[in-house]
Amino acid sequence: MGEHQTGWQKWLHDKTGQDVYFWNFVILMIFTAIEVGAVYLSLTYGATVFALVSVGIVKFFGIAAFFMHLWDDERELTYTFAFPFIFVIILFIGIAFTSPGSVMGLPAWCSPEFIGSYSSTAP
Amino acid sequence: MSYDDHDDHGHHGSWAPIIASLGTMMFLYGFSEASMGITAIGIAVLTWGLFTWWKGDLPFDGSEKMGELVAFGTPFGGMKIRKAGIWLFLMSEVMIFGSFFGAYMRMRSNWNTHWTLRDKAQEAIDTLGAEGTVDSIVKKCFDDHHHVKEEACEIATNGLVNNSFWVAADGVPAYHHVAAEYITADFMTLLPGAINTFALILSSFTVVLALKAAKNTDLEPNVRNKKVRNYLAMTLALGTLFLILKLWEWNHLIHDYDFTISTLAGSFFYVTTGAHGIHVFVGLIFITYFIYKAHIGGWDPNNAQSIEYYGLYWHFVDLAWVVIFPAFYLY
Repeated sequence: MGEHQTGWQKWLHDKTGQDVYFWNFVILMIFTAIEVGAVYLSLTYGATVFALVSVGIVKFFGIAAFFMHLWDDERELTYTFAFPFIFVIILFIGIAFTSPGSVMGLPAWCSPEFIGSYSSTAP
Repeated sequence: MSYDDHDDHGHHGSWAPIIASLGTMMFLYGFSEASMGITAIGIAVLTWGLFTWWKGDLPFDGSEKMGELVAFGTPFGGMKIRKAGIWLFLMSEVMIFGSFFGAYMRMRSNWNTHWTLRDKAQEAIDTLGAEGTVDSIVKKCFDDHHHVKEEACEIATNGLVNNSFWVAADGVPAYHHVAAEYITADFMTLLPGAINTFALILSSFTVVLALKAAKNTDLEPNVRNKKVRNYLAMTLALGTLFLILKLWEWNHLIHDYDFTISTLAGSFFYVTTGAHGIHVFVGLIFITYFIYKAHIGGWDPNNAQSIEYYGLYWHFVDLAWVVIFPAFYLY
């Protein structure tokens, strides 16, 4: 934990009397309120998705960078945490956001039927 | 340190990793063959191997001289070994929740759900001259209890959304009601999830405050432990609130909306939010011990890093919720 804060974090503490963890908490609470409110603002489909994704990115960054100390800790830990996202992105591109053929067209050895114990019920 | 220094430390000479690997192999073989006996033996051998490994690697002689073990070799050389271990564990957790989320997005983006209905409504406006907005058209497709009004929907979309959108040719339901449809339609249904989101963020902050208190060398030991205990107790209370509201919300969705795990969308929702809930529950078990330790005055700046490592897990649970909440509850 970066309790010996330097640079802008020290400046923030000196100016406001509160450390980066407190302000991170405040920002997370505000953005959560925006997140819930966005659904009731009658925004367009695209604007709502944009708002939810944007708020999600800010909250994700706030928690990972400051509460989990990745901002101050060794870079190797950030790389460790980021590494599996490569596979998650491949998963998304390969399966989540492509046509049904991306699943149906997989090689036989990827299919549940391959071991013959149960069958797929996908529509 | 580097691998060159390895010999200076001596080799563990432990069979524990091999025993644990053997246990894992038996567990997975038993699991795939649906053999409870082999699975149970595998889990027992794996547990024994891990326990032996854990016991051999950490100092249990009460000696503070050894301090926190430090890793050597690439890429974690010089780092505290437990910290690196926690991050490797969190790496595997990303894969677990990434799989849930990927499968869910697959359903939402390609199969007939609320998202695709909105796409169809937009298409009807753009190409078939359907009147109204996407929201107003979608609203005409359901009654107040979210039952489908096929005929009204077909008229509203100028014929684009017809029977085939709701029911596939082989009789299997083509349309999948998702939890977000019910949750966003009624504020009281959304409320537990919204409160839970605030509760988890607040609980993350109380863990940070507990760690700060534990590391504060200016405090008297009894004051320090009291502060740590109180902050951790707040985390426990917030985590418990999370689980209570979660169960209330599930009960509400099942009994008032008939949204059960037997449907495809229901299974995605309950498995994902349930897996997250289990993570919260496990976190509460650990924190109960931490509170007890604070109660007997067991925390000081020299061992406060255990709270930090616990905090990494707890923050990850919060992080997973940051993704689950908007995707499963809000849209």
